[in-house]
Formats: sequence, C-alpha cells, structure tokens
Amino acid sequence: MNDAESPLSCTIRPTKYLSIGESMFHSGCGVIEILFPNMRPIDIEKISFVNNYTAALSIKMKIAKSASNQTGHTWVTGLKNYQLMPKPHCETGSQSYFHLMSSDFCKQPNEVCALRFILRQPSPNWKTFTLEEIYVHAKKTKDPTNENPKWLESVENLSASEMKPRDQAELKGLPDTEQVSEKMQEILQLAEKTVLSAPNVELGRFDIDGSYEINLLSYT
Amino acid sequence: MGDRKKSPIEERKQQYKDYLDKTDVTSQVREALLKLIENQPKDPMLFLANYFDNISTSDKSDKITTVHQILQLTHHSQQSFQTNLIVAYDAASLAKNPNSKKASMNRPGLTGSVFEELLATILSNVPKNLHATLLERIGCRASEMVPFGVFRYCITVCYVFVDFVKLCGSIFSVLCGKQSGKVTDKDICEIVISSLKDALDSLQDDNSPCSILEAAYVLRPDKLASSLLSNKSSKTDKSTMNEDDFMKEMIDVFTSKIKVLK
Repeated sequence: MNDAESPLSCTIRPTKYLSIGESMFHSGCGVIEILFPNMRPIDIEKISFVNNYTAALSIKMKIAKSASNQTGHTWVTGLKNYQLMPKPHCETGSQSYFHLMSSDFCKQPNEVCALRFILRQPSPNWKTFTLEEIYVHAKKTKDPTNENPKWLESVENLSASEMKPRDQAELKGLPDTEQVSEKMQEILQLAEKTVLSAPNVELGRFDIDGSYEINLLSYT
Repeated sequence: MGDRKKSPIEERKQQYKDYLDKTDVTSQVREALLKLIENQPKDPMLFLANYFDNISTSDKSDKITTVHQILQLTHHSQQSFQTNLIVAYDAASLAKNPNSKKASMNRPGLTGSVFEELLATILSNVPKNLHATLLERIGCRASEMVPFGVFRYCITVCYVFVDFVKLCGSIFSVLCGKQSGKVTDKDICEIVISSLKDALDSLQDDNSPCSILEAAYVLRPDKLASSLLSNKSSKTDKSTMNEDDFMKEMIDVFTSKIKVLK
C-alpha cells in the first residue's frame, strides 16, 4: 500500500482559465483537474502544493457512491474559498507552500475518484496564476493480511512476576486444565473430521421437519 | 530312476502341501496376512486372533455382523479405513437372498432399515439415551436407499461419536479429580461445555487452517484456567452435576454441529 509519506501517482491537467469563446480576458478563475488513474477510490490524508499567485482555492471532490449501494458518482465541495493570499493585490503568500490536511476539509475526503481545484485571483495585477507541485497523499490503510491473528498474539498479558492462570488454578484445587484442554482439542479434531467427511450426495428428501410442502407434491 | 521315484523328503513336502490346499488353509492365511498388511494394526497378534475368530463364526452370522466386522478392522483415522468402507458397503448392499425367486428379495442395494441396524450395532457400546439425538440426525428411513457417500459419512460420524463419548468420559473423570463419587461442581462443567461450544462455533465451514488454529486457541489451558478462576471467585454456592447430565450436554453441543442428511 501507499505510504502516507510517498505521494500518489496521479494525472494533473494543466490549469484552464475561464473564458468565453475565443476571447481571452482576465476572468480571475482557473481550474486544475486531478485524476487517479487505475486506482480504486482513495481516502485522502493530505494535499500539498506550492502557490503561484492564486488568491483563494475551492476543491470539488468526485466521490464514489459505493457506500449507499449505488453506482455512479457525485461531486461534493471539499473546500470553499480557502485563502492562500491574505491580500490578493499584495505579494504575501503568493509563493508559499501549503499543506491541506483532511481535517481542513469541510467534508471528509474519503472514497475520492477525482479532484477539481478551482483557483480564484480577483486582482488584475497577476495575469497568470496557478498551483505547482501538487502532491496527494492517501491515508495509510490497514492491510488486513498483515494483521496478526488472535492466536499469534501474546497469550495473556502477564507480567513476569504473575503466575500463569493454569498454575493458579492448580493451586486452588481446580481440575487439571492441561489435561482437559488436551482432550477438548481431540474433540475438536473429531468434529473437524465429521465436517470433512460430509457427503457429496443427497438422499433427496423433500420434507421439512417430517412434513411435506404441499406445493412440492404433484400427481405424476 | 530318480525321476520316477521321488525322495522321501519331497514326498513328505507334497503331502503337506496337499493337505493345506485341501483344507483351504493356504488361501485363508494368505488372506489374513494381506488384511494384516493392509490395516497395519498396532497389535498384530490380537488383530489376527480377532480375524480368525470372525471367520470361524462368520458362517452362522448374518450380513450386519459381517459388515460390522469389516469396519471394525481398523480405527477410522487409518487410511485403510476408507478401503474397508468400500468393502463393507459392497458386502452390505449384496442381495438379501440371491436364491429367492421373489424379485424384491433379489435386488441388491443397501436399504435404510439394514443401515439403521448397522449403525445401532456400531453404537452398541454407547448407552441408548445418549445416541438417540445422533441417530435422529444421520439415520435413514427404512424405505430409503443409501448411496455410498451417505454410508461413508454416517459410518465415520458413528465411529467418531464413539470416540467422542469416550473422551467425554475421561474429561469428566479429570474434572472429578480426587473427589470420590460420580459428581462434580456444576459450574466447572458448564464452563467446559460452553468453551467447547465456542470452539466449535469458531470452526468455520470453509475449513481454513486458520479457523482450526483459532478454535484450538479458544481451548488452550490458560484460557480454561482463567475462566475457571474468575468463576470460582464470583460464586460460593455449590450445585453438582452427575456424569449422565454432563455427557448429555456435551453430546448435544457436539451433535448440533453434525450435518443433517437431506
């Protein structure tokens, strides 16, 4: 799985500026699209980028609807008018590094298939504005295969000075648990055997609890 | 000259050989040795003794005893038990009376009624009140024909069940410990029964090796001991349980996991 440290590989489309027809004018609005190719929906932990004269940022997230048993996607606003430059006309923040954590989002960025960054620059001072070095980091997912099964973990959390329960039980005059356990394990083996030898053929009984379903009986 | 008259030693040899052939001992002994090699019992002499005992009585005995004897040759955990099952099934499904002219008597195949008797013979060492629930689950009806798959399953389950009852008995005697008599603390018994239930529950159908380990983990000595200890500290009143009730409850837990025939 992807580590939280290494960014996800994703396709980042170049910034598109809002325009009407062929005419170029300063609309003050641009869009960057980010796609995650060949990957299932991801849970985003962190997005980092370097600003390049963008005043405010909104993020739309394309979220898979698999949770509600529906196929398809919806667009959700993840971030609304996040200020990158406190004063759009001034330089401050125009070249800063930003890290957006999942807690900064107004909606948890889980199960995301694509992102759209909507960049705004109201000041006419800056003709072009964009974001650079965009990196998306996924949440560290717990790999179920790597988890230790219960029986591998330490038997009982005992300190060294404490006695094992089986020794305590022996002292209190309880029956020998080791012997009982041994025999129970044998029973388990026997049970296992009955499961394994289950027949692959059926006798062809149709009755349920000794009585027949009337619809199954027919005059043939 | 030498050709016409055999030496006295060779003559003696021929005489012995004739006798063995005439009385059919050679083939029978060979058969016995084959069975011995096939089953490889721990105590070969006892096995042979039983084998010959069965042969000498088999003339008088009926089909069920014959089949039972075949099955009895090895323990169900041995590989050769599977071969014996096939032989036994063939023996059991022989026509009842090949010489009879009536068609119904002539048909080969294993009917439910014969099968029921066979199961009862296998379980004859177990008290009847204990194995009733088992037979309810795996018994066949008198009119049904028993296919080999079902035959193998039921017979194996029966032998497993006999072993299970033995194990239950020895667990109970461990639980009794030094106490004299045939009763022990009811709470202890209940803990043992419930932990068996837990273990069998965690034994999933898919039989992955992990589920077996998980089930065995539930039954480890320390777990049993700690549940016994926690119970001991919380309760003071002493009710008791006798062996019969203990066996019944254990068997109920065990048989509830056995697949019902369909």
